[in-house]
Amino acid sequence: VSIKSTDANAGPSLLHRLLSINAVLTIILLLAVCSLMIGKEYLSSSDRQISSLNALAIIISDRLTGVMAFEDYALAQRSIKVLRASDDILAACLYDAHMKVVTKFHRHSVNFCRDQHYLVKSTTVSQKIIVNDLVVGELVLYANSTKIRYQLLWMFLYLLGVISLCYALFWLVARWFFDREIMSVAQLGEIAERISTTGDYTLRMKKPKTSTSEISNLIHTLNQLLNMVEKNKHELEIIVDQRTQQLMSEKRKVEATSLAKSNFLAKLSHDVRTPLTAIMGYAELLSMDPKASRAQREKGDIIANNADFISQLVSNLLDLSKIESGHHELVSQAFNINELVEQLANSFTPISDTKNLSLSIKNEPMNAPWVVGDMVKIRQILNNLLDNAFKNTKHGQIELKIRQQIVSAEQCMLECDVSDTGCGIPSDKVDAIFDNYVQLGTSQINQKGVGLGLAITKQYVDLMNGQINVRSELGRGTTFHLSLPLDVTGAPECNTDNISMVEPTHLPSILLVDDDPNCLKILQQIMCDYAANIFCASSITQARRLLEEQSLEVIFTDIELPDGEGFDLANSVLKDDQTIIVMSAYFDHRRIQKMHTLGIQHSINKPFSNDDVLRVIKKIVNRQ
Amino acid sequence: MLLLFNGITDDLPAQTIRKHSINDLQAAYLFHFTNFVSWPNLTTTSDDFIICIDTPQELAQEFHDLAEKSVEGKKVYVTKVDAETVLIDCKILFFKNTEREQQNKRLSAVKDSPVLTVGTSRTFNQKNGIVQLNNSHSRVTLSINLRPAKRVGLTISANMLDVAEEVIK
Repeated sequence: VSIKSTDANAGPSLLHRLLSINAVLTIILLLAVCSLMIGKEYLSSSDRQISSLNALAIIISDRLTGVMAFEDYALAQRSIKVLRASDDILAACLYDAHMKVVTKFHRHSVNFCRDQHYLVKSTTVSQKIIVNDLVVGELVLYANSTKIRYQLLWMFLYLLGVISLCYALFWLVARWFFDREIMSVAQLGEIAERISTTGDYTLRMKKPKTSTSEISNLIHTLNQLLNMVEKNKHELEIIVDQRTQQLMSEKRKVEATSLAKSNFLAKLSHDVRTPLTAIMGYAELLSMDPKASRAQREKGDIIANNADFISQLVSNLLDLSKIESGHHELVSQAFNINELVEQLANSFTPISDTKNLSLSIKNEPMNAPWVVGDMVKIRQILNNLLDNAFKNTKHGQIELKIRQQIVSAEQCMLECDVSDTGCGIPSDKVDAIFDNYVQLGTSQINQKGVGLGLAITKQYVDLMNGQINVRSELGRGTTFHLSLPLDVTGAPECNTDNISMVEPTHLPSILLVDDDPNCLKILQQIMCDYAANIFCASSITQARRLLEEQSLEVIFTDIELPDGEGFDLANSVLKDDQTIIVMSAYFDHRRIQKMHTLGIQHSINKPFSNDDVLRVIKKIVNRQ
Repeated sequence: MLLLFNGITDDLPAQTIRKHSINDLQAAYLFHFTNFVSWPNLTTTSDDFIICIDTPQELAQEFHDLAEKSVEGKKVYVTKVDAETVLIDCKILFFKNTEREQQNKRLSAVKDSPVLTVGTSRTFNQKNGIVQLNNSHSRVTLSINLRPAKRVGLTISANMLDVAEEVIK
């Protein structure tokens, strides 16, 4: 039985590792023992051979004393030849006192008595022949040590066989042990791996019949652990289900609340802005009416300014609501930075005159004044910053510095500094100025607004991947630094924003659709000089009938109408040469999406100023 | 034998030794017999080891030189046999060119004494002489008669018997 690891990078199995280690150790041990035995046997055999040779040499030498004494060399030769009977003796040399060979015997053709080389290939002993304390000769015997080597070789082969047998026995025992014990551990690992990969906690390890108590305990513990995990998992699933139900319920509540909030905001916006449209429109008309007296025009301005403030307040609340609901999106368009600065100057110069403050606008010459970005939001950011500066400054000046830093051929950074000489921000409040509902001034009662401008500003800057930071000194003023990345673009072929109505050749017939009669009247008065005919409708039904009866080129329609949405006109009766402009006090994400879907390019926020309406009508007239 | 002479003659060169006369060989043999023959009670007596030489000639210097040696701690004494010599005191009695009758007479005189008799005549063993030196082909060979030796208690080494050309038992 083999356990194969599923991990391709895993090393050898536990069995192979254990067997390899034990095999190597066993073989090393057995080889060491064998080497010692062989070495000992070699030394012992050599000693025995040398002892035997020595004894033989002593015996023969003793017999040769008379021979050497009386120079009976024939007898010496006969005595030496006796050695032939011993197979171990390779050769024998009998030397006289001058080491001259007296007689010799050799079994092979090699002359041992002259060639000392053979001394190293054989076992050699020498025995001096002494007569009356005189050395009369020397006997040298050469024994065959090859026999010992062969004996040792046989012994080595024998031991090798024993080692192989031992190893085979070891392998069998190890396999038996593995099947009995280690296999259980391997199966444990396999089950753990299956659990980790499949997440199936119902798997259990069967207790083997023959196993040690440690393995059994391990299996038992693992099974208990799995029981606990399965139980906990089951309980956890129940809890998760309960929590999920709760969360789903909470989510539905939140969604319902959010929907209610959106509906409320839409209703609030509509109900507040719609009357403001009439108030602002009439106030502006009064201000610009040449027949009105100066006092009447000033009252008109006051009404318009206050209505504008309420309008901004509502706009900020709506913007914040959009931001919090995550429905805010950037609407990119090409615009000229210089024109944006000019609009800001036009907007704030009257305020600076009113508050007797100096407004300094330093617009450095720009290499690429045409950029692509959400101009409306950028203008709102700068509006908010300048508005804050004017609110918090009683004396001195407000300064706006704008410069462009070209990053690449396609991108630039718009760097803006808005500085004032106002009261400054306490250091402990600097970090909180971009929070919602936080006002900069030290006295909250005297401050106008609810503290949403900077919060919205920060959200817009983050949305544009820009940066804004503030540097302030209490009593000396505050500087906001703004960095916005913008795409560089070329000047469009025709810029209609600043095109004034210079002798229009054709004035369009305009249909105004709104359920608010005041709004219709205001629009009529604003457009009277720019339309051939103006028709009014208070519902979609009336509008459709007029569209069928009359040849109308431009339709200004409110979105919230008694019998439907203004978009329905675009859906059903609009022709290719007709232009539709939608008006609403509340443009949420859905309405903006619908505008894009229907291809509606123009929209007017309520309450609107005369300029807002005229800017749109001028564009359409000039295009036609 | 040359080896022996080398030891006896203070490391004389072998080539020089080979040129020595028969006296040299005989003197060396006589001394060398002392290594292969055991005399009864030799170690218990305090007498010198007497080598007697019976010869009609003057005693050669080679034999006188033996007196410088010793046998088992006893000083070797070499004497020329004459009428006054007590033959039974001799350990070795060497007959060198001795007349036959005189040789037989003196052999009879020591026949019961532990005296190693050595002779050069061809019938020396037949006359109950113990060691007979034979000259053959410029070699000296031995013939040993063990009977008289055993009778007087002399023990002759097997090594010596091995080299003997003839052993009479």
